[in-house]
Amino acid sequence: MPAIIGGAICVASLSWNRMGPAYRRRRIAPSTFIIGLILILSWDFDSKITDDFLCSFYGSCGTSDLSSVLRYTAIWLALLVSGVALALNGAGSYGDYSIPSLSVGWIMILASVILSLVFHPSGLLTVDTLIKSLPVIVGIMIGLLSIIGLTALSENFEPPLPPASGLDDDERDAILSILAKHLGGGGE
Amino acid sequence: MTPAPLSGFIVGYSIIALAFSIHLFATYRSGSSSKILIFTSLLNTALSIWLSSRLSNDIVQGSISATFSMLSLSSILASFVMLKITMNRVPGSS
Repeated sequence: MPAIIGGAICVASLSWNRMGPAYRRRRIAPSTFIIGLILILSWDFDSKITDDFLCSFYGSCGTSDLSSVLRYTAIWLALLVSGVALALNGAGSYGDYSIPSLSVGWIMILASVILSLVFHPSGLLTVDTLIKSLPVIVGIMIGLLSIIGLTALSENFEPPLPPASGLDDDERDAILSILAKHLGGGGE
Repeated sequence: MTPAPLSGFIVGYSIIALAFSIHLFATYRSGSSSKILIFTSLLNTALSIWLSSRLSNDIVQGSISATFSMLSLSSILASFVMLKITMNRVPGSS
Protein backbone atom coordinates (compact mmCIF):
# COMPACT_ATOMS: atom_id res chain seq x y z
CA MET A 1 0.00 0.00 0.00
CA PRO A 2 2.70 2.62 0.87
CA ALA A 3 4.44 1.84 -2.43
CA ILE A 4 1.26 2.55 -4.43
CA ILE A 5 0.59 5.83 -2.58
CA GLY A 6 4.30 6.71 -2.99
CA GLY A 7 4.10 6.04 -6.74
CA ALA A 8 0.99 8.25 -7.04
CA ILE A 9 2.74 11.05 -5.10
CA CYS A 10 5.81 10.77 -7.36
CA VAL A 11 3.62 11.07 -10.50
CA ALA A 12 1.80 14.11 -9.01
CA SER A 13 5.07 15.82 -8.05
CA LEU A 14 6.56 15.25 -11.53
CA SER A 15 3.39 16.85 -12.98
CA TRP A 16 3.73 19.84 -10.61
CA ASN A 17 7.36 20.16 -11.62
CA ARG A 18 6.25 20.72 -15.25
CA MET A 19 3.76 23.47 -14.31
CA GLY A 20 6.19 26.39 -14.31
CA PRO A 21 7.74 28.47 -11.50
CA ALA A 22 4.73 30.81 -11.10
CA TYR A 23 2.66 28.04 -9.50
CA ARG A 24 2.91 27.29 -5.76
CA ARG A 25 2.52 23.59 -6.55
CA ARG A 26 5.77 23.73 -8.56
CA ARG A 27 7.67 24.94 -5.48
CA ILE A 28 6.72 21.94 -3.33
CA ALA A 29 7.30 19.40 -6.14
CA PRO A 30 10.91 18.36 -5.20
CA SER A 31 10.10 17.77 -1.51
CA THR A 32 6.91 15.90 -2.43
CA PHE A 33 8.88 13.69 -4.82
CA ILE A 34 11.29 12.77 -2.02
CA ILE A 35 8.35 11.88 0.28
CA GLY A 36 6.92 9.65 -2.48
CA LEU A 37 10.28 7.97 -3.00
CA ILE A 38 10.64 7.31 0.75
CA LEU A 39 7.15 5.74 0.79
CA ILE A 40 8.11 3.44 -2.12
CA LEU A 41 11.37 2.46 -0.46
CA SER A 42 9.69 1.94 2.92
CA TRP A 43 7.84 -1.08 1.58
CA ASP A 44 9.12 -3.94 3.72
CA PHE A 45 11.66 -6.12 1.91
CA ASP A 46 10.24 -9.28 3.48
CA SER A 47 6.60 -8.29 3.11
CA LYS A 48 4.49 -11.04 1.64
CA ILE A 49 1.66 -10.21 -0.74
CA THR A 50 -0.74 -11.66 1.88
CA ASP A 51 0.16 -8.66 4.09
CA ASP A 52 -0.74 -6.21 1.38
CA PHE A 53 -4.18 -4.88 0.40
CA LEU A 54 -3.58 -6.09 -3.18
CA CYS A 55 -4.13 -9.63 -1.91
CA SER A 56 -7.81 -9.09 -1.10
CA PHE A 57 -8.22 -6.62 -3.99
CA TYR A 58 -7.16 -9.13 -6.63
CA GLY A 59 -8.47 -12.20 -4.79
CA SER A 60 -5.27 -14.19 -5.29
CA CYS A 61 -2.47 -14.16 -2.74
CA GLY A 62 1.10 -15.32 -2.95
CA THR A 63 4.67 -14.15 -2.56
CA SER A 64 6.63 -11.90 -4.89
CA ASP A 65 10.02 -10.25 -5.23
CA LEU A 66 8.36 -7.02 -6.44
CA SER A 67 9.25 -5.00 -3.33
CA SER A 68 12.96 -5.82 -3.66
CA VAL A 69 12.89 -5.13 -7.43
CA LEU A 70 11.20 -1.75 -6.81
CA ARG A 71 13.72 -0.75 -4.13
CA TYR A 72 16.62 -1.91 -6.27
CA THR A 73 15.29 0.02 -9.31
CA ALA A 74 14.91 3.20 -7.23
CA ILE A 75 18.55 2.94 -6.07
CA TRP A 76 20.17 2.49 -9.51
CA LEU A 77 17.81 5.02 -11.11
CA ALA A 78 18.70 7.65 -8.47
CA LEU A 79 22.38 6.92 -9.10
CA LEU A 80 21.88 7.25 -12.87
CA VAL A 81 19.88 10.51 -12.69
CA SER A 82 22.42 12.10 -10.29
CA GLY A 83 25.32 10.95 -12.49
CA VAL A 84 23.70 12.27 -15.69
CA ALA A 85 22.98 15.65 -14.00
CA LEU A 86 26.60 15.95 -12.81
CA ALA A 87 28.05 14.84 -16.17
CA LEU A 88 25.79 17.25 -18.11
CA ASN A 89 26.84 20.06 -15.81
CA GLY A 90 30.53 19.15 -16.12
CA ALA A 91 30.35 18.74 -19.90
CA GLY A 92 29.37 22.40 -20.23
CA SER A 93 25.74 21.85 -21.21
CA TYR A 94 24.44 23.93 -18.28
CA GLY A 95 27.58 25.68 -17.03
CA ASP A 96 31.35 25.76 -17.40
CA TYR A 97 33.38 22.73 -18.48
CA SER A 98 34.45 20.98 -15.27
CA ILE A 99 36.62 17.85 -15.14
CA PRO A 100 35.81 16.96 -11.45
CA SER A 101 32.04 17.19 -12.02
CA LEU A 102 32.35 15.22 -15.29
CA SER A 103 34.49 12.51 -13.65
CA VAL A 104 32.23 12.03 -10.62
CA GLY A 105 29.18 12.02 -12.94
CA TRP A 106 30.68 9.31 -15.14
CA ILE A 107 31.72 7.19 -12.14
CA MET A 108 28.09 7.33 -10.94
CA ILE A 109 26.75 6.48 -14.43
CA LEU A 110 29.07 3.46 -14.74
CA ALA A 111 28.23 2.34 -11.18
CA SER A 112 24.54 2.57 -12.09
CA VAL A 113 25.04 0.48 -15.27
CA ILE A 114 26.96 -2.20 -13.32
CA LEU A 115 24.42 -2.18 -10.47
CA SER A 116 21.41 -2.40 -12.80
CA LEU A 117 22.76 -5.21 -14.98
CA VAL A 118 25.05 -7.33 -12.82
CA PHE A 119 23.64 -7.26 -9.28
CA HIS A 120 19.97 -7.78 -10.16
CA PRO A 121 17.83 -9.34 -7.36
CA SER A 122 16.40 -11.96 -9.76
CA GLY A 123 19.79 -12.80 -11.26
CA LEU A 124 20.91 -11.83 -14.76
CA LEU A 125 18.30 -10.65 -17.26
CA THR A 126 16.92 -13.49 -19.35
CA VAL A 127 14.88 -13.86 -22.54
CA ASP A 128 12.00 -15.00 -20.32
CA THR A 129 12.05 -11.63 -18.52
CA LEU A 130 12.05 -9.84 -21.88
CA ILE A 131 9.08 -11.89 -23.15
CA LYS A 132 7.18 -11.29 -19.89
CA SER A 133 7.72 -7.52 -20.04
CA LEU A 134 6.90 -7.06 -23.76
CA PRO A 135 3.07 -7.11 -23.40
CA VAL A 136 3.32 -4.53 -20.57
CA ILE A 137 5.47 -2.25 -22.76
CA VAL A 138 2.99 -2.66 -25.66
CA GLY A 139 0.15 -1.84 -23.21
CA ILE A 140 1.98 1.33 -22.13
CA MET A 141 2.48 2.37 -25.80
CA ILE A 142 -1.19 1.76 -26.68
CA GLY A 143 -2.15 3.61 -23.48
CA LEU A 144 -0.12 6.62 -24.61
CA LEU A 145 -1.82 6.53 -28.03
CA SER A 146 -5.25 6.41 -26.36
CA ILE A 147 -4.29 9.47 -24.26
CA ILE A 148 -3.42 11.35 -27.47
CA GLY A 149 -6.80 10.26 -28.88
CA LEU A 150 -8.68 11.41 -25.76
CA THR A 151 -6.90 14.78 -25.83
CA ALA A 152 -7.76 15.30 -29.53
CA LEU A 153 -11.37 14.30 -28.81
CA SER A 154 -11.73 16.77 -25.91
CA GLU A 155 -10.18 19.57 -28.00
CA ASN A 156 -12.72 18.91 -30.78
CA PHE A 157 -15.71 18.99 -28.44
CA GLU A 158 -14.82 21.97 -26.26
CA PRO A 159 -14.83 25.62 -27.37
CA PRO A 160 -11.47 27.47 -27.30
CA LEU A 161 -10.53 28.88 -23.89
CA PRO A 162 -10.92 32.63 -23.28
CA PRO A 163 -7.71 34.69 -23.04
CA ALA A 164 -5.80 34.03 -19.80
CA SER A 165 -6.23 36.57 -16.99
CA GLY A 166 -3.31 38.84 -16.05
CA LEU A 167 -0.62 37.81 -13.56
CA ASP A 168 -1.26 38.47 -9.86
CA ASP A 169 1.40 40.08 -7.61
CA ASP A 170 3.00 36.78 -6.54
CA GLU A 171 3.23 35.55 -10.13
CA ARG A 172 4.65 38.90 -11.29
CA ASP A 173 7.32 38.78 -8.54
CA ALA A 174 8.27 35.22 -9.50
CA ILE A 175 8.63 36.11 -13.21
CA LEU A 176 10.63 39.27 -12.40
CA SER A 177 13.05 37.38 -10.15
CA ILE A 178 13.61 34.73 -12.86
CA LEU A 179 14.22 37.36 -15.55
CA ALA A 180 16.57 39.30 -13.24
CA LYS A 181 18.48 36.11 -12.41
CA HIS A 182 18.98 35.19 -16.07
CA LEU A 183 19.70 38.74 -17.33
CA GLY A 184 22.01 39.58 -14.41
CA GLY A 185 19.92 42.51 -13.13
CA GLY A 186 19.16 43.46 -9.57
CA GLY A 187 15.60 42.16 -9.64
CA GLU A 188 13.96 45.61 -9.78
CA MET B 1 -8.57 -17.36 -17.37
CA THR B 2 -6.92 -14.45 -19.24
CA PRO B 3 -3.85 -15.37 -21.36
CA ALA B 4 -0.59 -14.01 -19.86
CA PRO B 5 0.26 -11.64 -22.77
CA LEU B 6 -3.21 -10.05 -22.60
CA SER B 7 -2.86 -9.74 -18.81
CA GLY B 8 0.47 -7.98 -19.25
CA PHE B 9 -1.09 -5.66 -21.83
CA ILE B 10 -3.93 -4.73 -19.44
CA VAL B 11 -1.42 -4.08 -16.63
CA GLY B 12 0.66 -1.73 -18.83
CA TYR B 13 -2.45 0.05 -20.12
CA SER B 14 -3.83 0.48 -16.58
CA ILE B 15 -0.54 1.93 -15.29
CA ILE B 16 -0.42 4.63 -17.97
CA ALA B 17 -4.18 5.39 -17.69
CA LEU B 18 -3.90 5.82 -13.91
CA ALA B 19 -0.76 7.96 -14.23
CA PHE B 20 -2.53 10.25 -16.74
CA SER B 21 -5.56 10.67 -14.45
CA ILE B 22 -3.25 11.56 -11.53
CA HIS B 23 -1.46 14.05 -13.82
CA LEU B 24 -4.78 15.70 -14.79
CA PHE B 25 -5.85 16.07 -11.14
CA ALA B 26 -2.40 17.29 -10.04
CA THR B 27 -2.31 19.99 -12.71
CA TYR B 28 -6.02 20.94 -12.44
CA ARG B 29 -6.68 24.65 -12.97
CA SER B 30 -10.16 26.00 -12.40
CA GLY B 31 -11.64 27.23 -15.69
CA SER B 32 -8.70 26.02 -17.76
CA SER B 33 -8.71 22.23 -17.44
CA SER B 34 -10.86 20.36 -19.93
CA LYS B 35 -13.81 18.70 -18.18
CA ILE B 36 -14.37 16.32 -21.11
CA LEU B 37 -10.75 15.19 -20.94
CA ILE B 38 -10.95 14.61 -17.17
CA PHE B 39 -14.22 12.68 -17.51
CA THR B 40 -13.03 10.46 -20.39
CA SER B 41 -9.70 9.85 -18.66
CA LEU B 42 -11.42 8.81 -15.42
CA LEU B 43 -13.72 6.50 -17.39
CA ASN B 44 -10.71 5.02 -19.21
CA THR B 45 -8.86 4.51 -15.90
CA ALA B 46 -11.89 2.99 -14.13
CA LEU B 47 -12.42 0.52 -16.99
CA SER B 48 -8.78 -0.53 -17.13
CA ILE B 49 -8.51 -0.88 -13.33
CA TRP B 50 -11.71 -2.97 -13.34
CA LEU B 51 -10.22 -5.21 -16.05
CA SER B 52 -6.91 -5.56 -14.21
CA SER B 53 -8.72 -6.37 -10.93
CA ARG B 54 -9.95 -9.56 -12.61
CA LEU B 55 -6.41 -10.76 -13.28
CA SER B 56 -4.44 -13.14 -11.10
CA ASN B 57 -2.28 -11.33 -8.55
CA ASP B 58 0.77 -13.43 -9.47
CA ILE B 59 0.53 -12.34 -13.11
CA VAL B 60 0.15 -8.66 -12.19
CA GLN B 61 3.10 -8.79 -9.80
CA GLY B 62 5.22 -10.82 -12.28
CA SER B 63 4.48 -8.44 -15.17
CA ILE B 64 5.38 -5.31 -13.17
CA SER B 65 8.48 -7.01 -11.78
CA ALA B 66 9.66 -8.08 -15.28
CA THR B 67 9.06 -4.56 -16.66
CA PHE B 68 11.11 -2.93 -13.90
CA SER B 69 13.84 -5.53 -14.55
CA MET B 70 13.89 -4.65 -18.26
CA LEU B 71 14.07 -0.97 -17.35
CA SER B 72 17.67 -1.62 -16.30
CA LEU B 73 18.60 -1.81 -20.01
CA SER B 74 17.83 1.91 -20.20
CA SER B 75 20.98 2.59 -18.15
CA ILE B 76 23.07 1.32 -21.11
CA LEU B 77 21.13 3.55 -23.50
CA ALA B 78 21.58 6.55 -21.19
CA SER B 79 25.34 5.91 -20.93
CA PHE B 80 25.69 5.87 -24.76
CA VAL B 81 23.76 9.15 -25.05
CA MET B 82 25.94 10.69 -22.32
CA LEU B 83 29.09 9.44 -24.06
CA LYS B 84 28.03 11.21 -27.26
CA ILE B 85 27.28 14.46 -25.36
CA THR B 86 30.57 14.29 -23.47
CA MET B 87 32.66 13.61 -26.61
CA ASN B 88 30.91 16.44 -28.51
CA ARG B 89 31.72 18.93 -25.78
CA VAL B 90 35.36 18.12 -25.09
CA PRO B 91 37.23 21.46 -25.46
CA GLY B 92 38.90 21.63 -28.87
CA SER B 93 36.85 18.74 -30.30
CA SER B 94 34.85 20.89 -32.72
